[in-house]
Amino acid sequence: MVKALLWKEWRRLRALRWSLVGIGLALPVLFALAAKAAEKGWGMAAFTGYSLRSILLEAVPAALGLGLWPLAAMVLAVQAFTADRADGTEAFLLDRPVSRRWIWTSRLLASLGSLGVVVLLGLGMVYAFVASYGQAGFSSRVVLVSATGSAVLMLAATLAALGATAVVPAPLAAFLVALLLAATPLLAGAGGAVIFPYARWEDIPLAGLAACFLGVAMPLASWIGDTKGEPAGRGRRVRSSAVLGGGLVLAALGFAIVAPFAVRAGAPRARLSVVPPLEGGTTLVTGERGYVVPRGTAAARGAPRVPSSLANGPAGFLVDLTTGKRGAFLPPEVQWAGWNPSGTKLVIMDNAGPLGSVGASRLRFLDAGGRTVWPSVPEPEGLTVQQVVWAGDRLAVVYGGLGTTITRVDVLDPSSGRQATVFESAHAPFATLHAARDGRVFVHTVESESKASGPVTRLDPEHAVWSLRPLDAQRSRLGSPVLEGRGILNASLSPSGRFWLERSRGSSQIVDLASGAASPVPVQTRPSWMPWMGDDSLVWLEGDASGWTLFRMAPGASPLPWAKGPGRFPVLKVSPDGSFAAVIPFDPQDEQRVLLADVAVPGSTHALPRLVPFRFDTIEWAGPQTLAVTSRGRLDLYDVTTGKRTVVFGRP
Amino acid sequence: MSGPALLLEGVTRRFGRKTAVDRLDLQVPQGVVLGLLGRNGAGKTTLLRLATGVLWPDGGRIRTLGLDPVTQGLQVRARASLLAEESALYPWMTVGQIVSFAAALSATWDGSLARDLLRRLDLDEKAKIKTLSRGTRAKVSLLLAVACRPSLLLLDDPTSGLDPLVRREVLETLLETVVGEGGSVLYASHLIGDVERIADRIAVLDGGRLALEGGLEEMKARTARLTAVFAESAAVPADLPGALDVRLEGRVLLAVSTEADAAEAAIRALSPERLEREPLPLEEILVAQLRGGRAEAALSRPEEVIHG
Repeated sequence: MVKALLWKEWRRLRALRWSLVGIGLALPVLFALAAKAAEKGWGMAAFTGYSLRSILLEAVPAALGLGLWPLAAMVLAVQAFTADRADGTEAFLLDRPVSRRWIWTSRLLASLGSLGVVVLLGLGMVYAFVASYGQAGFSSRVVLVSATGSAVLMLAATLAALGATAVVPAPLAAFLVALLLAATPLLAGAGGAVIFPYARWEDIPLAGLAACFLGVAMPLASWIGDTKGEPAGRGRRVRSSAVLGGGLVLAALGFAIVAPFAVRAGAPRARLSVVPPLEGGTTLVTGERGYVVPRGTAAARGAPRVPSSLANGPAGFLVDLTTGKRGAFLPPEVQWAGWNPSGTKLVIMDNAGPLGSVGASRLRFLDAGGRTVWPSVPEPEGLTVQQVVWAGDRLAVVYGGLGTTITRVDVLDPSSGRQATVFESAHAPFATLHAARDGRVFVHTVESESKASGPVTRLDPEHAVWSLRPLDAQRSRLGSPVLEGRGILNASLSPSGRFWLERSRGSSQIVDLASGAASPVPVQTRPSWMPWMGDDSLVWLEGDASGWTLFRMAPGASPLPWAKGPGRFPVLKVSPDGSFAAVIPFDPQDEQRVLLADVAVPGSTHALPRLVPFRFDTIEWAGPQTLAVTSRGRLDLYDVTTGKRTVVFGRP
Repeated sequence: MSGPALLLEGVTRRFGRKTAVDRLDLQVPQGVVLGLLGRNGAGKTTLLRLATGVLWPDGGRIRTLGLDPVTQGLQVRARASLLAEESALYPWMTVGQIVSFAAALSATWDGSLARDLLRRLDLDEKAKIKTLSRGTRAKVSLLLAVACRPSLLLLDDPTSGLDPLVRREVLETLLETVVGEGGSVLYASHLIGDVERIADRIAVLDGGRLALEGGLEEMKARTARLTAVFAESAAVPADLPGALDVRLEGRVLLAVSTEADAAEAAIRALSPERLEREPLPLEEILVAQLRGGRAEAALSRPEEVIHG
């Protein structure tokens, strides 16, 4: 019986099978004619520049593998499962003692067998071309990936055809529905990537993967529709639709269950960044926003980062600095974060929505355990948060206009959510907050002189004026300028809030905010980074071909060399409380070790043991005396005072 | 198996809001040819497909050859064969191919009978189904239905639209191959003449319900038209036994009775000048029966019941 059923289904597909074989064999001729027509200038612009060799060895295999064969898989399966119903001969088998399971199986086998014939003859033709014209020059990897892709497409087309024929009896309609079903994972993936950008698995949208599970529901719907229930077909469509709908619900449910885990699991794979507290035992680790580092890679050796929206996302997680245990997870996107001076409260700016989606941006206030302390405060309409700084128990927030040049500074009371604007200007594209250790905050603004000409779209350094004003956060007032000047400068405030470092193109100087006295900073080169130490001394690195020198200078005194070393220019990083300066080798492959300078022991430096035996992305301060060694999927903590190393995650 | 070849008890089947078969009770005893009559949409085809398990009932109980067609559909279809009015034959197959294909699907296929029928019905094995005339396709369907030696043959107007010669050929073949071998037949048709030719019993469906059922010969023997002529105008006798239709036209009394002997005696007691008794063809019996009030719905269009 089975043999007879197979014969019947095989025989029924004969015309279609040979038509598809014929189309496959005709493709080279059609393509060659199109190329010839293009050569003669008779249209067919898409075929311009193709040689016969490239047509036979590249275009034809691609058209077969990615076009004709998947299409053939769909057409053959649709024909096998709808032909009897379409021409009214379904009753022939139903009226006879034939198992519907065997009917279903023989139809599937016949369509797959016919597809096999179409594919094998096509492959034979391609092999003949290769034998005649030589290899196309593709790597075996490309061939393997293409073959796998073609096989996946054929499988998807067959499954979609099964699903479609289970609910639509007419062949043409079933074919169209099958096209739609086959595209479901792609559509779901594209939609999911937009709606749930952080629900990903290995950079593949999870919604697309979840939709792939419909691939199981489709043949199941066909099987249950065709082999269960009344043979004449009552309820067939309802049963099949229920299975497909159930598959859809399960896929959605699976997505909803897995998405939070995927968001969490993906976070460590991002290039990591650390937001350290000045004090306290908890640090915040986040992903770097908007960047993804190709896996495996040269990025760790300093290759340029690739901007991408496909980053796993700047999610955050709190880490206990003593035990290295991960605490609360902060779903993406964490756009801004800052600890209060005591390290007990954390403000974050995020737009995390459910299941890895992006919601409205708002400021959230957490304790060191990640618990919400006060209700969140939404971002004002038309503005975006640019900087948030704790000012005692209040917050100073810099907003920038979206699509406008407005800059605004607010004081926010997080316990009540009340905000008061202390500064707003359409002529000041820059406003920067500088916090002293004692909670005082200064606002550094740069404005255009030509205010009359309307909003500033581009700040001209020649016509820019800046000022530094103290912020009275308790009264929500901005004080009179303590300093003013012209041009655009790079500036920073010393931890005590007494000294102000001004760096412009030509020179650098330290200004005593109490007396107004200025003292120059004599540098031989132009160091890019001049941080303050906890005792209000400045440190910087200068280097030449022979090596680097770490300088330290107290305000008003002369710079003193603190340490020297060979090798390429390293990176200088000062601990959050300014107790330590770490000189970190620039090249992670460099055998040079991290050099640690303790501000409490003038003139003394020592090299730390080699922190990690693997390539790392960065070494950063995670706490007052803790270094974080980050790489994708790996985070280590190193206590510089005790020498204790803790693996937070990743293989040790 | 000792029970009836087909038993339906209170069977109901609906298609959406339409009730095709409504609480139907019917039996087809073994070795009997039951003629099933009814208008289009009366429920004949539904009944046959319910019997093979291709359709499932919404209510009631069906036993086909002692088997439940819902749970034992394959076994039922292995022993009961359905020949539909427009049999589904694959147009792309040849006659030989479809015969071989059907043979492979049946465990009880009688190859010699099939060959014999091919020859007797003058079927060309190499001819494609799609090239055959309607009559020839009906012959092929008949061959496929009977060559598997069914214990119960279910026929759904197999001769409808065929010319008289082919109809005769088909019916003769049926009688020889199935009825002659002791099989049971449920023969649904519009054609009373055909049914009369081969049926032992008659059942009439109307609106999905059984309107009439009985033995054909018994029905014919018991039913007669009585014409009595009286000297003077007479009254219609009260309680005329088995009266289906009684009319008085002046001195002439016309009566159709299913208890013709008793009715004749009753009329004779009224001393008519003349009394004639004549047997009725099946068609008129059915019309009279239905007019007699057994199926009110059928009374309004009795011709349709019979002539379809």
